[in-house]
Amino acid sequence: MVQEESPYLRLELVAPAGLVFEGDVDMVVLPAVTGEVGVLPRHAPLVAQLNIGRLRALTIDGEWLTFAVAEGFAKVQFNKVIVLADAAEDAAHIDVERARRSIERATERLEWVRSGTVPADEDVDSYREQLAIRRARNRLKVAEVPEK
Amino acid sequence: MASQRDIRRRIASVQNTRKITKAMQMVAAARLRRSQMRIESTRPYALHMLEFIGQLAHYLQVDLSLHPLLKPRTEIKKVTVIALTADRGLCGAFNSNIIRRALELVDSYTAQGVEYDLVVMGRKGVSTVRFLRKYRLDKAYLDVTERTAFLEAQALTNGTIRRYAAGSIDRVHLVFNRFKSPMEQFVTDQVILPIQEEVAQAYTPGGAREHMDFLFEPSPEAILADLLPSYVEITIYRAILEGMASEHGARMTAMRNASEAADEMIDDLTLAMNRARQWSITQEILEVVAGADALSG
Repeated sequence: MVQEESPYLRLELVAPAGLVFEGDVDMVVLPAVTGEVGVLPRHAPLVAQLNIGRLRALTIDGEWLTFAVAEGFAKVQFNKVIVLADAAEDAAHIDVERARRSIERATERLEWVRSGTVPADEDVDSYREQLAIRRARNRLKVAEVPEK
Repeated sequence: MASQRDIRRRIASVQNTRKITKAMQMVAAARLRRSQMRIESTRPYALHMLEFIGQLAHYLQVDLSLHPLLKPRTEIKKVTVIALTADRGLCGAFNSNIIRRALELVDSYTAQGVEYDLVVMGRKGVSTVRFLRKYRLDKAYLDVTERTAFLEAQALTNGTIRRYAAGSIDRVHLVFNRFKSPMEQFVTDQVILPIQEEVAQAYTPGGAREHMDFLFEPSPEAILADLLPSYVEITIYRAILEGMASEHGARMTAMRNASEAADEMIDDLTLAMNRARQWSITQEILEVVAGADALSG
């Protein structure tokens, strides 16, 4: 087995909407379904399923980057970490207002379903609303702001 | 003959309409560029996804084409037809083409005695189906934006895969407008469940790929079971984005045609107006001459 001699990890964070982050880092902490997994350079090949949560990366300047990620997968091989996440956002650029609005909207729509008052020209997919709420809550949590 | 004032009023009205169609054309062009970029940016995710699936299948030494989500069913009793239309009109035959193709598909299945579920995304398609009253609409997705498109794709996939896995549907068609270029788009009917060959092909048996001892969190089977639905999600997501780009392209073309028609109409009306003006001048001169003749005579 050939391992490239590189003291760094290459992190690629990819969401369906595009590449969120790409760069060399010293360490990555993944929110795996089995618990947080820390990855250092020369880590053994790994494939992990990711939970909704917080992904952290220590840059080579010694700075921690934080991302809010939704469910996904990560692969570690040859000092390269590829993260495929359903959604990923840099914690520093989380739109708090949008997250709050999206919780409000989804809660309201779920309430329609619960009380059987879905307007005639609308159609609600409960799964979608639940996903939206979970993601928005995660974004707020990662951004470290209260829900209200 | 219409009076000069009437014609002038019509010219002003057509000019106003042209202003709107021109503006819409420009907005559609700008949105189209953004949409095209969005389609491009889904590429890395989709490629990595295929690679993941291929590597995992290789590692597990499984023949992907035998997986329940990939294996074609021998007997088709019920199908789901998903049509992706737009929320807005004024884009030529865009919406009606998609919905027509979807309903033709439904009709042909019905003729074979196969049951159907009809799922429509977009207000235009939904209102057409509701208006026809002939078809039973199973689920509607409205107000989908580029930002929420992936969420909608996931919701759609979740419901569909669950029913497919439970055996209550045997095939899923996705009818949408494939985007090739702003000028070139066509309605496509793609079978998304069972998952088509291309995924199985991503796994090339006997390849020179080095065997790696991977660690799995939690297990390779669990990860593969989760990856395949994700592949359907990204397929639907890309289809939604392609549909949106096509919509903007179609609207741009429709609005350009409308602006050109308005130009032509303005030319014709201006000519008519000049004629009317000339006619009234001639009439006045005739009257003056006739008056002078009467006096001198």
